[in-house]
Amino acid sequence: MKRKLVLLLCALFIASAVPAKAADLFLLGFAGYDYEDPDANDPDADGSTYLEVGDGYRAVGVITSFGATLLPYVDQGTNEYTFHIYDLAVIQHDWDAPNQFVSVLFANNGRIRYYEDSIGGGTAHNYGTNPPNGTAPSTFTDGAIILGGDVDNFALFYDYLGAQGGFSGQMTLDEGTLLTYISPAQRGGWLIGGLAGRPNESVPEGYDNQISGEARIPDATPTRTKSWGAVKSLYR
Amino acid sequence: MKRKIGVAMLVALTALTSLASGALAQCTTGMLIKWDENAFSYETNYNSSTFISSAGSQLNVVGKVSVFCQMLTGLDASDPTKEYTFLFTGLTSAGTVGPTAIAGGSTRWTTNYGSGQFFIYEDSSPDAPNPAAMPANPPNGTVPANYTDGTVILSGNIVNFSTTITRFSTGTYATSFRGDFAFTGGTMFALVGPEFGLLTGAWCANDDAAPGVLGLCDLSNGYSSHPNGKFDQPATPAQTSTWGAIKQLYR
Repeated sequence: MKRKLVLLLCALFIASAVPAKAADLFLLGFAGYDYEDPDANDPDADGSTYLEVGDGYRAVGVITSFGATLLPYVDQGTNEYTFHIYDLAVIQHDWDAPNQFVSVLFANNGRIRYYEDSIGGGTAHNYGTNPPNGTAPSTFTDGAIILGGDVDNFALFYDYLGAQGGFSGQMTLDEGTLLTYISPAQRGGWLIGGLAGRPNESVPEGYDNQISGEARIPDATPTRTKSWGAVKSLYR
Repeated sequence: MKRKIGVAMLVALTALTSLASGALAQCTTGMLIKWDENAFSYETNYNSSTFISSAGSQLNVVGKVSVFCQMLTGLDASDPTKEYTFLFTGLTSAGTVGPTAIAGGSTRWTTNYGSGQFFIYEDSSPDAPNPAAMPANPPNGTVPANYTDGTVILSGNIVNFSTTITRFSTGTYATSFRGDFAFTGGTMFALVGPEFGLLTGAWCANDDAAPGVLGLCDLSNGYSSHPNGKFDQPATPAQTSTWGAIKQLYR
């Protein structure tokens, strides 16, 4: 009996060691560009100085689509929807020179905010060059905050051989005019994003990568579709 | 002939002048075509518990466009009477390299694919499946069939397509894909011309290997990933490439 209890506790500990998510729903999709701020060494000759410990990660861009949860409350015909990711400080930086690969971990309590700005009366987003500058992030952070949240367990990699990378992080929504339309049980969501760096003619001078990604939230009635093999493997 | 060119230009101009302002607001620098919620990949020989794509495995990606930008802003992806869907096909896996241990405790899986094709469809009878309940084990009665009905408005070639899956030392994951594309055909080819650009985005791999873990996606059986990405085309296309790669795009 004691052995079973110990095994159960061990299983619970292992399960809780890795940030987990429930069955999920698409909240919104986004695209934009990222940059380092603060940045101890710029430009980066390779991954040895990209997102060093103490550097900060930021991203700005537009929301490209909304999922069913928010779609009734937004109007993409009359408003521009933008985002800003900030307050992410590097706490671990590992550069693998032979594999030309960098992996980076960030301190908790970063932040993401999504904004609504009138197309007619507001200011259109403008990346400019070498951010932060006169238009970035300011033209991405004007207007009303429709949603915002705390970002934890954020991690990022970049593969210099493949000229691509990605990130993921947990997002806990806690502010904004549309927060009321997301039930408290669904406010603990997550972010995923893909990165495409140079050679890439689209990336404005001073930015690092193009971003394409999305935010997801837990399903209100979570169900997961899995094969029997996958289910059985959970209990082995 | 001149009359045909004139008519084609008129059609193109009409499409451009019927701009959807919403689409412009959703557009950003470099973005030509974006997809978000509704996109999924599957392969003929992929193990979702190990992230291993066997050499020779055939990759297909189906999806639904979220927004058109630049010279395609005349197309309204939010029009409820239509849907714009796509298929990437003919991408042959060179075999996954990995798991590769990375300094610092991360692990990487990289897969390169041989050249393939893409097709973008306009369908006046929207019938793409609900992305929250994708029919299992494609190909099936719905996938890819309901993504490939309608008129091919754009088509082309894909080269240098590759995916990367990374497990961090913390146990969470992040993913990506990247490739090059070139337009070669379709009824709206005149709008874009023989330009080439990047295919980029996140490649949220099926979470069978670690159910529920941050950075992977809970997908129906038989799907290898949920990509979120875009066709990118710089305002002044000038991409660094090799002659070999460029020639391959137009073959």
